[in-house]
Amino acid sequence: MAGSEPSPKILLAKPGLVTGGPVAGKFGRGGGGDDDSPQLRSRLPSVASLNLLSDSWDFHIDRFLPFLTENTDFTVIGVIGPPGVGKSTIMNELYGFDSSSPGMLPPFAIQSEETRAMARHCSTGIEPRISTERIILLDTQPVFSASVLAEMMRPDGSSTISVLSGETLSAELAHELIGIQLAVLLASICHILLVVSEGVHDDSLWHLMLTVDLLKHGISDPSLMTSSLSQSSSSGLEKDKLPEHEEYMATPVFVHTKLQDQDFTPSNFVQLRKALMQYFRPSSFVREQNKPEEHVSSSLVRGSQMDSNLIKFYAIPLKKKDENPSAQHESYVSALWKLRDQILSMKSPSFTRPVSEREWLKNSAKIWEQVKNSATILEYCRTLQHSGMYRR
Amino acid sequence: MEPRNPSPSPSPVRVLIRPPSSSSSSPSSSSDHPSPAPAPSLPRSSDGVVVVGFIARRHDDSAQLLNRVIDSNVFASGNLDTPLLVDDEEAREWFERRRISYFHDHDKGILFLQFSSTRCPVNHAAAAPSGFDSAVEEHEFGDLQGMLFMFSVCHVIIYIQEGSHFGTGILRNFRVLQAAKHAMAPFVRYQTMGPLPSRSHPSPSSQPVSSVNNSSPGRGGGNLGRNMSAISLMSGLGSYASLFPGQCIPVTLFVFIDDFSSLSNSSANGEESLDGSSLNQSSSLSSAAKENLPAKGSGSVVVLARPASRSEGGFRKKLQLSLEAQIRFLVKKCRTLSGSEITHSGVRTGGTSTSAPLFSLDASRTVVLLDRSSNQRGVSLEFASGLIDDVLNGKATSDSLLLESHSQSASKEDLISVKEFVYRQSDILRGRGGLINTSSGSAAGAGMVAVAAAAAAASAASGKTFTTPDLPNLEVWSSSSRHILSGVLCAKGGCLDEFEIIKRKPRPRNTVSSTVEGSSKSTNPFDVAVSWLQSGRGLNTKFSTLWCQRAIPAAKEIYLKDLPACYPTSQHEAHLDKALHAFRSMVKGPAVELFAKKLEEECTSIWKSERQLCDAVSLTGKPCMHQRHDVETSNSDLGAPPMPHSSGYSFLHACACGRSQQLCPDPFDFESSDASCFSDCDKLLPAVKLTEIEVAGPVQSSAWSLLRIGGSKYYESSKGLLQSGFCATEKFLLKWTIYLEKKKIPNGSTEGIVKQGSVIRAPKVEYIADAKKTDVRQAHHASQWKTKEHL
Repeated sequence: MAGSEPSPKILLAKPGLVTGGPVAGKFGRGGGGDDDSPQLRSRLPSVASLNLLSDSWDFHIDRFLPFLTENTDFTVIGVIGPPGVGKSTIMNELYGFDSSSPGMLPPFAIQSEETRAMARHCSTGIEPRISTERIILLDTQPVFSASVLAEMMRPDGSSTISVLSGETLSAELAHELIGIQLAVLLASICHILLVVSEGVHDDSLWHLMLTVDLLKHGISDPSLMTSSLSQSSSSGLEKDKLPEHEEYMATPVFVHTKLQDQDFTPSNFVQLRKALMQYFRPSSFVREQNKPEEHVSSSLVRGSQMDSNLIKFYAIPLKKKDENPSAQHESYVSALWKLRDQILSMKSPSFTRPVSEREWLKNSAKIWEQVKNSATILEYCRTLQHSGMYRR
Repeated sequence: MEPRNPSPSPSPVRVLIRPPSSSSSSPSSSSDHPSPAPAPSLPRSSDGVVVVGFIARRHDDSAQLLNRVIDSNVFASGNLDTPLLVDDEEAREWFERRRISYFHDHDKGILFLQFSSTRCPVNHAAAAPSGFDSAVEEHEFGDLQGMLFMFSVCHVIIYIQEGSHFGTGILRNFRVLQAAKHAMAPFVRYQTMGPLPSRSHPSPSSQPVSSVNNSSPGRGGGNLGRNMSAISLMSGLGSYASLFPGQCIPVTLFVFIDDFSSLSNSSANGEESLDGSSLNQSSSLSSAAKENLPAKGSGSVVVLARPASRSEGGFRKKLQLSLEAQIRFLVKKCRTLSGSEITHSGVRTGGTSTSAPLFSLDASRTVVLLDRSSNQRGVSLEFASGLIDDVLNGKATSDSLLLESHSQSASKEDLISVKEFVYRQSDILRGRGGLINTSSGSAAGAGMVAVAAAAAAASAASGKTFTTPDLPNLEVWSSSSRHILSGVLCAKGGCLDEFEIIKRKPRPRNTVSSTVEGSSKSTNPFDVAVSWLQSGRGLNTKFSTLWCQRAIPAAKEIYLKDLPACYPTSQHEAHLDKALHAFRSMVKGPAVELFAKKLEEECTSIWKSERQLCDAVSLTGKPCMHQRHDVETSNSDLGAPPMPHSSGYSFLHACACGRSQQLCPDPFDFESSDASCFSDCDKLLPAVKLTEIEVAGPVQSSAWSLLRIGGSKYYESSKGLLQSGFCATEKFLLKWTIYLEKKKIPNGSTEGIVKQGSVIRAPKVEYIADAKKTDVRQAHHASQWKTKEHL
C-alpha cells in the first residue's frame, strides 16, 4: 500500500528515520517496542502510540482511557489480517480521514516505502483510536507475519513473549497463539470485526476465524463483567452451569483486497460468497442468525436456504497508479468508499446490556486476562504441539 | 548488465530423441551460440539431467516464468511439455485439480519440471471430508503431496509466491515436508540400490549399449572431464547416490511476484531527499544484515554502491535484501532446515545423514523480485516473436529488437537473475562452477570463488576421496520419479496418531532399523510420509472431538440427575433436553453435532433398556407403574393377559345386591372394568322378574331391566334401603315415570344416552356391578341399565 502523499510525509517523518537504525539493528534480537514508542512520542506527538498491549503481552488502558467518556452509544470496530493487505488503510477510511488532504498525517500509520523495503510491519499490538462519531477503531499487528516472528525469536528459537503464563514455547508456536489470542479478544470486545485477506487464494484467515469460533469459550461479554456472573463464568468447564444465553460474538466482515483483474468478476464473487457460506456453516456465525431455532434438524433445513446477507463479504481490487480504462470492474477508491459506507451503516449486535466507553475499556482488560488464561486455548496449544508442525 | 554465461552448443553427432521439440529449439540455440564449445563437455550434458522445478499456486505464474527462462514458448500455450501422470484410480482425482509436466532441454541438459494448482480460485467441494476441517484443507493436503514430490526429485527449486511477504505458513509446511521426506528415505534408498551395481561395476555388455547411444570419441572425453572436476559445493552431496530422485536436496530460490511498477514510478518521481534517506537506510540495512549473516559481509559494498546510481533499483534492492535476510534468519532458526553454510564433514557412506535438510539456500542469492506485468508480457511477446519468425524466416535481429524494446531494464535484470541462478546451479552440479564463475568476475562470483576454493581445500584435505556424483539420465529419473509420485499419491495415511508421533520420531534416525523396516514392508515409508503431511490437517476437528469426548460423561450425569428408577416419556425428554443444552454450552466446534447425536442415543438407550415406564393411564386418571410391557389389545374373558397394566391402586367392587364385595385393581379400560367374578350372584334372585319383562312388551325395547332385590319391608322412607352393601347416599328411591305411548323410539334412545353418560360421569360400584349382571342375563342387548324398583 503506497502512501498517498509521499512528499509531505517524508518531510515530517525525517526524525523517524533516525530511529530506523536502532530498530533495524534489533532485528532478530527481540522486540524493541518500548524503545520505539518514547522516541516516536517525543518526535511526532500527533501520532503518539496508544498501544493497548505492551511488550510483555499485557493489556494497558492508561493511555487510551482519557479519550473515552461515559457515553453508552458507541461502536467498536476491529480489524485483523496478514501484513500488507490494507488493514490500516481501511481503518483510516472508517475514521473519516481524507487521504487527499495535504500535510495531514493519517490516524493509523500506513506502511511507508522504507518500511516495506525492509519487509517490516508497522503496526504493533493493538492500536486504538476513537472518532467524533464515537466509533472506537482497533488496529492490530499483522498475523502470519515473518517480521513479527523474527522480532520475537530468541537465538535458541524460543519466544521472547510469554504468551501462556509460565510456559516457554517455540517462537513459531507462540506466534501462532498470538494470532489466535488477538482474534479471540477482538471477537469478544468488538461489535464488528473486519477479516482482511489478500487475493482470492488465501484462506488462512477463514481458518483462523473457524479456530476463533472453536476456542472462544468461557469468555465474558464486555457488559457483564461488573456483575456477579464474572466469578462463575471465569471457569468455562463448570459442569452444572447452564448459561441462559449464547456467548457474544462480534459480527465478522470478510474483505479480500488486492484482487487482480482476472479475479475481479461477478461470477467469482458469487462463488466466493457461496464458498464462504459453505465454509462457515458449522460455525456460530451462521447459527446465531437462527437463534430462535432450538432444534438442529430445522436449523439444517433452513441452512440450505440461507441468503447472502448472513455473512458480509467485500472485494477490493488491486490499486494501480495508472487506471486501466478497459477494466470492467470498479476502481479501487470507489470500492473502498463503498466498503466504508456499508460498514458504518451496518446494524451491529449490541452487548447484553448497555455499557459506557470507559467501562468497556476496563472490562476489555479483564477479558484479555480471560483470553490469556483460557483453558480451551491451552488445550489447543497442546494439540498444536502434537501436530508436528511446530518445534517442541 | 552482466554477460550471459555461454552454454555448450549441440554436437552434430548427437542422437535426436525428440525430433519435434529439438527442431523447434535448434534454430534459436544455434543462432544464440555461433561458436561451438569444446567437445569433451558434450556427452556429459546429454548423459545426466539437472532437474529444475517450478512450484506455484497459479498455473500462469510458473508457465510464463518457465517460458522466459527457457527462451521459448514451451509451457502453457506452447504445449511442448510432457505431463507426468500416474495410471492409478486413486491419483486421478488428485490430477483433476493439479498439473505436473516437464520439458527436457537437450542442449543444456536441464529438465524443467512444473507443478501448479489448477484449482478454480473459489470452487469448493460441498462438504468437509473426513479427517479435515474443510474441503480447502483437503486441497492443501494434496498440494503438500505435490510439494513433497518436488522437493524429493528436483535439484533446483524455484518457489513462486504472490505478493511481497514471506508468510509464516510456509515455514510450517516446510517442517511437515521435512518430516515426510525423512520418512520416505528407507524406501528411496531401497529402490536406489537396484541400479547401483550396474553403474558402479560396468559390465562388458553395457559398453556396447553406451556406444550405440553416444559416439566413441565422446565417451572417452566424458571420462576425462569427470576426472578433472572434483569440486562439489553442495552440502549433503557426499553420498554417492544423493542426486537421484528421492534423495535430492534442492537449492531453493524464492520468487516474489508483485506489482512493483507503480512503486518504481512513484519513487522515480520522488525528491532528492529520498535518495539521501535511501542511502541511509541501505547503511542501516547493511549493518542489520551483517549481524544475521556473517557470510554476506562482502555484499554490503555492492549495496552501498547501487543506490547512488538508480533510486528505482534502490527500493527493489532493499526489499530483496530485507526479504532475503528475513528468510535466511527464519530458515536458520528452524533447525530442521539447513542454512546456507556449506560444511564438509567427510564422505558419508551408507546413505544420507540422519538430519538431511529439506532444501538448501545459495550463498549469493535467495530472493528474486519479479514484476507481475513483466512476467505476463512473455505470452504476447512470444506470439509476436513467432509471427515475425514466420514472416522473416527466423532472423535473429528481429527477435533481439523486440526483446529490447518491450522489456524494462529493471525487470529484465530480474529475469536474467533467475536464469543465472538456474544455469549457475546447473554448472555447479556438473562440477564446473569454479571455472565459469571466475571468468565472469561479478561480485557474487567472487564469493563463489572463495567458497569454491574452500571446498577444493577441504576436498584435497580429505585425500581426494570426494568425487562428483553422477547425475541421473532422463530414463532413470523418469521411472524413479513416477514411482515416487505414485507412492506419494496412492499411500494411505493414518499410520501415526497423536501418541505414536513421539515414539515414531526417534525411529527414522536408526539407519539399520529403517533399512530393515523399509525392506520388509515396501509401502510403509510412503504411508508414514503421508501421515506426516496429514498430521497438521483437521486440527480443529481433532480438538473438538477430544473436547466432546471429555464432556460426554458430564452431560450424561446431568441427564441421570434427580431421576427415579423408572420414569415415563415426558420426564425422559425433559432431562434429555437439559443434558443436551448443558452439553452444547460446554463444547464447541465441528464435532458438536455428531456428539450431540451420540449423547441423545446413549441417553435414550439407557432409558429404553431398563428405565422406561409404561405410558398408560387408568380410568381413574392414575399412571401405570410397570415398565413398558406387551399388552394384548384383544382381552378375552377366559384368560388373563400376560402383563396387565397396574397403577398400584385397588377399588372395592360389589355385586348388584351389595352383599358380595371384593377388592379389584384399578381398571385401565372398560372391558377389564366389567370383568368381575359376580356372575353367580344374580341366580339367587327370584325368577319373577323375567316374567314381568316378557309381559311388558314396549319396555323391552329400551336398554334397562327390572330386578327384584327384596320385599317392601326392607325399605323405610326415613332410613332408605335396609340392606348392607349400599352407599349411604344411594339408599333412597328415585321417581321414574314410564310413558307407554312415546317411549318406543325417542325415549328409548334418549334414556340410553343419558344413562351411559351417567356411567362415565360417576362410575359407582353398584352401577358397574348392575351392568355386569344384566349383561349376563340378557346378552342380546347392546347396552344395559338397571334401576332399583320397589315391588
